[in-house]
Amino acid sequence: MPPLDCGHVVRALWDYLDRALDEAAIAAIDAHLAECERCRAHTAFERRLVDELRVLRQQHDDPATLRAQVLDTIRRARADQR
Amino acid sequence: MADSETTDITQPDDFESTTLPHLDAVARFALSLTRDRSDADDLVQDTYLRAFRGWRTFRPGSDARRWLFAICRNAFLRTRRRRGVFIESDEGDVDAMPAVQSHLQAMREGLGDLFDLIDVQPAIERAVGQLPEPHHSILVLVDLEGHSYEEAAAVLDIPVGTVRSRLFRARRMIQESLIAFAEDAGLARRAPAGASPNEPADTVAS
Repeated sequence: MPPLDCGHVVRALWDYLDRALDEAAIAAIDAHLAECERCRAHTAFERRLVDELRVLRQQHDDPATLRAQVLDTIRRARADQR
Repeated sequence: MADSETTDITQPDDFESTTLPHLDAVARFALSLTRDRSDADDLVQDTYLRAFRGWRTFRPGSDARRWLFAICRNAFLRTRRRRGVFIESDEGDVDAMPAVQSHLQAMREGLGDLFDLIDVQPAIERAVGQLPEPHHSILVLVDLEGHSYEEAAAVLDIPVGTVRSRLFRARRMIQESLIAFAEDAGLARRAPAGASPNEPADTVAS
């Protein structure tokens, strides 16, 4: 793949951060970022957003109780069908 | 779909054995959508009840987790509509702007270190909660739940290209919200008089 310009990298940046590009495209962007300080700064900014969003992911703090409630819901729905 | 491919509802154990292994994932997804523990629990119950009633439509061997996520998301949207908080916003692919627009705006305002200047997690959580549909669900699926574009497209039954454009738009809205938050906190630097509101063209076109 030929060297990329800044415009190409900018347009592909979120696909790049989401690993939604093929290996050749990722390697080409990596090569551009190694040489371009401005695009590196853009990438760091956007990567930080994606990383911060992933921190929001939460786990249920009482899965056993929720499971019991769901099983009870299914049991009652099954009884209603009969 | 041929009848032979549908699940026989007279086999009750199949429903539990197929769907319950995904309960934790559904609960996490519900919590990401609602941002409220009580609402999330109600949504999970509703999801499993609807799934049970629609069990006949599940194709054995297909992705049960994806099927449950789609039911969960649709149930969530119905709840929001009932509460009158549903705002549909779809500007289509025209808003698949380059990722860096918000960064350029932040730099112009002296907010290049935006994420280090503000209490970022509460600000992001608030911004995510304010996202309109359908952008909210897509951002949750991809950025919070870690689904690929293709998986999110399957859950939402929309093209992959639409997932991309709406996701990128959602991220832009989050960034704009964070910048506004920093501006309100007095952290932004005023642009010099006469300065162009737009970044020089060579930034994105070189």
